[in-house]
Amino acid sequence: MSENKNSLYRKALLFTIVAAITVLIGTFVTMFYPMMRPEMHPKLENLKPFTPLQLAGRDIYMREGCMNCHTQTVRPLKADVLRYGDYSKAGEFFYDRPHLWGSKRTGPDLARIGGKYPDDWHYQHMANPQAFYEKSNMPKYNFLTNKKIDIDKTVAGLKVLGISYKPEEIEELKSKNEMDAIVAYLQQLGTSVSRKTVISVDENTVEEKSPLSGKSDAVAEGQRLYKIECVGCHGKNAEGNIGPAFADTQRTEKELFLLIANGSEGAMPGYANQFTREKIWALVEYVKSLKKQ
Amino acid sequence: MNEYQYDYQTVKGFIVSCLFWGVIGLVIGLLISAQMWNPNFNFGEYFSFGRLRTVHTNVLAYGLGIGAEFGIFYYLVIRLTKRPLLFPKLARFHLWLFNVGIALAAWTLFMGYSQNLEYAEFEWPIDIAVVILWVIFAINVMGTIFKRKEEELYISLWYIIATIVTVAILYIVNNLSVPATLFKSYHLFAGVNSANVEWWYGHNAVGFLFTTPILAMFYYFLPKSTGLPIYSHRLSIISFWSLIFAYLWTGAHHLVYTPLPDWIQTLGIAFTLFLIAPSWGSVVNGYFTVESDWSVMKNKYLTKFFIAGITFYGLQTIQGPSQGIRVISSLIHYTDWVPGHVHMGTMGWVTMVICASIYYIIPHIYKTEIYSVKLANIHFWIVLIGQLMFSITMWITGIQQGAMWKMTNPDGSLKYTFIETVTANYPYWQMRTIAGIIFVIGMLFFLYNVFMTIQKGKKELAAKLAAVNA
Amino acid sequence: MAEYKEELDDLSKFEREDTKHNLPAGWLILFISLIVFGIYYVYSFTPSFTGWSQEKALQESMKK
Repeated sequence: MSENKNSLYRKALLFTIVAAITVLIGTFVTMFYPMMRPEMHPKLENLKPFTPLQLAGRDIYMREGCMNCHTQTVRPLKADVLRYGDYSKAGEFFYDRPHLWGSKRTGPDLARIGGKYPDDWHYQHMANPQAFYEKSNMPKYNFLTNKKIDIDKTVAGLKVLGISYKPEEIEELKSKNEMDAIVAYLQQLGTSVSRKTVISVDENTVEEKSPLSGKSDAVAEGQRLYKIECVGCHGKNAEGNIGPAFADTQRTEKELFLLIANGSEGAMPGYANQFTREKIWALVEYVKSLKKQ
Repeated sequence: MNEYQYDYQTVKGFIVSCLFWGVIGLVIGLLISAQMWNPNFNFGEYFSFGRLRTVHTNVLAYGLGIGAEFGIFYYLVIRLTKRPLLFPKLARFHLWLFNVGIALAAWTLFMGYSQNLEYAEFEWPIDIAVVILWVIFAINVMGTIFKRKEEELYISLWYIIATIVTVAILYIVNNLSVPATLFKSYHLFAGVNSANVEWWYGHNAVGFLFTTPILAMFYYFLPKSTGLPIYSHRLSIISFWSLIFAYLWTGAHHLVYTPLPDWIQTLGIAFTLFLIAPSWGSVVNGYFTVESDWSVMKNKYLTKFFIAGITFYGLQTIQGPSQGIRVISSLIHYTDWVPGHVHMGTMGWVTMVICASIYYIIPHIYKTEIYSVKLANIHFWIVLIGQLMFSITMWITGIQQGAMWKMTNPDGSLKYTFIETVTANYPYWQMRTIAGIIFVIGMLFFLYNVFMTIQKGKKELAAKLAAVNA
Repeated sequence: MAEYKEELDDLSKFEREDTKHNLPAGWLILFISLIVFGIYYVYSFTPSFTGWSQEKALQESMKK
């Protein structure tokens, strides 16, 4: 206890003012001051404002709390860049009110999801994630298909955000459901930065024939990997779905290898970033084993 | 000595209300913990993880945490100012509005009306209600402090004043948004700036809703329940000012390796590390207070709640700042390590101290003794075990996740696909659910004990009245 | 049961009359060294002082 009668600890008003000033110093330097600097408001040249359908999708993304499990920022770290693509730039988020960077990756980061898979992938995966990844813990969002887009709300949102739109874009919303909207939103994420593949396989370095040919455990390993990553698009029993069945594929072994490794823009992501050559050859062996003799 | 009758009606009301919201928040917590390892626990739109996680955090933070703080502060302030509340009726209205507000807030989150700003998810109508609630509270508490009968402001009052002022600034600035419809608005700030404002808020919400208020309780109830004076006034002063000064610089440690300008991140990390010192100022002060007579640990059952609480606060404030450093952040950020960290703070420090404060207050205002010290001891050990199991499990799985995300093959490709890094967590997530159940069981002992103490107090009062009338 | 008496709090029971307890030396060392470390940390991660930058750090790690 202080004996001093003029002590700060005997003057409540003065104490309150001093406390307020104390907390405002850090607030000013790290929050208000940056706000006044252009580095906090950059915009990439390629960045386009949301279309009405995309904005409706973004509102649904927020309503369902997707950011509780998915981040939207790729860190400038080797592992992040390898897995997701180029790291996030400040100028990509000019229209994001609020930011949806998130704080937890129960599911993968979505900052570069746009264009990684075809639309069908998202429609089916949103409705039933477990069909793609058997043990996925993502909830099913099939109910979105049955819900109409709230057009008035979307228009109100566009007005608040100052985004211009064409009447036919609003008209178009009438025939769309919420699933269409969220897929449209996901498909534009991160597309203002050109897709950069970190690891791709140079075709000159690939053998014509599988080096694992004839190895008995290769097919089993290929099947294991297939079950983890491929069943969603190519079917549980490789019967084909979004992607083709393999029974009558005409591709050579080398072509199959390059397709799995490097993917095919807009149709299939490449796996060279997360499968070693050996694993990719094992997958080729598995595909070969399914071929009709 | 007793110049006036203390009025504890509002205190009682807030304590009962916060316990009610606590039960709801905990049960939802158990459900979402199960959803993490089995998606079949998601039941349609309203009971899916994305919405429920927000209900869980908000109901516990605002319903249990702030509810308890309102009640306990109303108790502390009248005791420390030696006068009745300035506006007792306003406090009753505050209680009523609080419960309506939390119920409405929970409903809106179930409906998916969310700003998606973490720990500030409420949409704008609820925000307005929160601001009104806070202003009512501020007027009453600050007014009472200004018109106090005791000259000296005790340490607890410093923390209460800092809480009231800072939360007001934080909440209003971060929730500035432009309404589009009744339950939909867009943040006033965009992109990087939006993130910076949000985490300036987010981190300091932790600081000024879960640190300073709990320290206010700690500094009051530790001496009260042990009979020992606080070790060093000077240490209290330095800890207080350096804590509230440094806290506001640190929000950017939530945004390490994001597109936020590097200099803000770097400043944030440096101040975050510094926070170890003021935090440990209170820890050391607490330990040395009890050190003058360790027998209170044995004789006074509440001491161990406060000492365990301040210990977890100490661990929390070493772990937290170290998580901010770039090299550690790069491994554990976005993993389950972080929920492990948060739950050590909320279950080990915040809830521990709140429960102990309620154990102290309830017998005092019902003019009786606690129903059962033994049950309180059982409660203590069960929640301690549950909490440790929870946090440690999450740290292990968090490190595993972070490592699996990073590991590469000799040819430079990633070793694990994302889904493999998810399913590897399942055993740990199941363990976490078990830990949660243990913790909730402990809390049920607490609730029962509090309830029985209230009944006991009421019965004794009735008996006394009957004796007077006879 | 003993008659329950409610008394006003006596602040002198919360804190010692004098503040004869100075700051614990260990804690003071911690306090000062964290300030020093903070200054060093800001220095070492400021591009114009040490040449560190996030982009450069990433490029170096990608080479490995």
